[in-house]
Amino acid sequence: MYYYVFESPKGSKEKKLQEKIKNLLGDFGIIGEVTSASPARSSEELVGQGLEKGYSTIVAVGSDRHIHRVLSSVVGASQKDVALGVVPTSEKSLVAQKLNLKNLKEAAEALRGRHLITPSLAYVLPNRYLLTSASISSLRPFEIYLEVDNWSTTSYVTKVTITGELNVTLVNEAFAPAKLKHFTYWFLGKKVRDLSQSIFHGKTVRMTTSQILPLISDGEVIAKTPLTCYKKLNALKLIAPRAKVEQGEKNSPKS
Amino acid sequence: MTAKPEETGTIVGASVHLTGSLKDSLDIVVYGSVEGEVESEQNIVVGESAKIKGPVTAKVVTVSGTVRGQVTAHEKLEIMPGGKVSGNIVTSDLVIHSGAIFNGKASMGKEKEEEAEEKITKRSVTQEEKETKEELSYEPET
Repeated sequence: MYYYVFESPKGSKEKKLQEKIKNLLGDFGIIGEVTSASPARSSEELVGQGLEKGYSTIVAVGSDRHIHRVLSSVVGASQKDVALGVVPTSEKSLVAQKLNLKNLKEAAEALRGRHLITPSLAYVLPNRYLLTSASISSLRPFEIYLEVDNWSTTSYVTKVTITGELNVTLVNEAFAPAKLKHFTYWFLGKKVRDLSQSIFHGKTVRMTTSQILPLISDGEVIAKTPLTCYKKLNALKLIAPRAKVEQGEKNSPKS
Repeated sequence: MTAKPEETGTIVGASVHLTGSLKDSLDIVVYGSVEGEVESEQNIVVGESAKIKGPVTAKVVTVSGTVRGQVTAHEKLEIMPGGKVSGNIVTSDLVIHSGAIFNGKASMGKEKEEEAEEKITKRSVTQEEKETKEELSYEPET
């Protein structure tokens, strides 16, 4: 049985969309207990109630922000037999892109199929898990001190992005190739080297900036610098479409 | 175009100065500066603006910038025009382009070392034999 945690609707348009989703889930035969977050009950509390009732599948229905809150609660509960399903409702949902879900129907089909993958997550202290990405950005370059595993670096950047796989991207727009250069190289059939971007991988990332800056994911501040992130493997069972499962199985390390 | 991390490996941008041991199972591309060890299971590219102070180890290493330290390239090392390597190199395939600078010792693998030693030994033996014959055939003027 599925336990659905809907995001608190912000207007009549979202209410209609949620009704449409409920009807769709009913048509697919996967309707279960439906709850809705509200000022009285947060999505985290609802997840806790669902886990106490013994549900083995929690489904987050809403924006990426809501999905991440539900995800963090599910993973934080450390119950290994619980799977998370998602129905992204945002137009430019990064979760939908990651799982290759093009519409609500595909999301419902994935839930019905219940194929599981175990994506890596970035754990951002103190209590947030990241499936997609979060970033720190500023119009002016800021100094950053970054420690990744066995090395460290100091640099001036305008944007830092952290992904669920704990890939860290640093960008300094001052070093980015000018648009005219892009056009000229494109005209000549050459590739422009972008020296402004750095990409690192690691299992542990610590970040300190010259000023306190927010780490923002889905429009929400999830942490502030200085911050620490860890890569978490096999912390989440996520319901995904079959094609993604096959790719995930190919990419998963063989024991 | 933004590079995808899972396809690209590690990239050290031009504005980055990195200290410590940098290791990756995928390619490493350096445009900035690194003080410490750089190791890849695949390829390492040292860009024109890059400066590395420390050992560099990979299958294939391409140097267009500056490296101070030992370079170990299990398959191939290529020093491009403008590239500088100050330190010993260990590789089985070495290409040094015109305009490149290399200061150090080069080791080209154990088999090739043994072949080189054999050649040197043969040359010495041949030279000795020649000298001996010349001595025997020499007739002082009377």
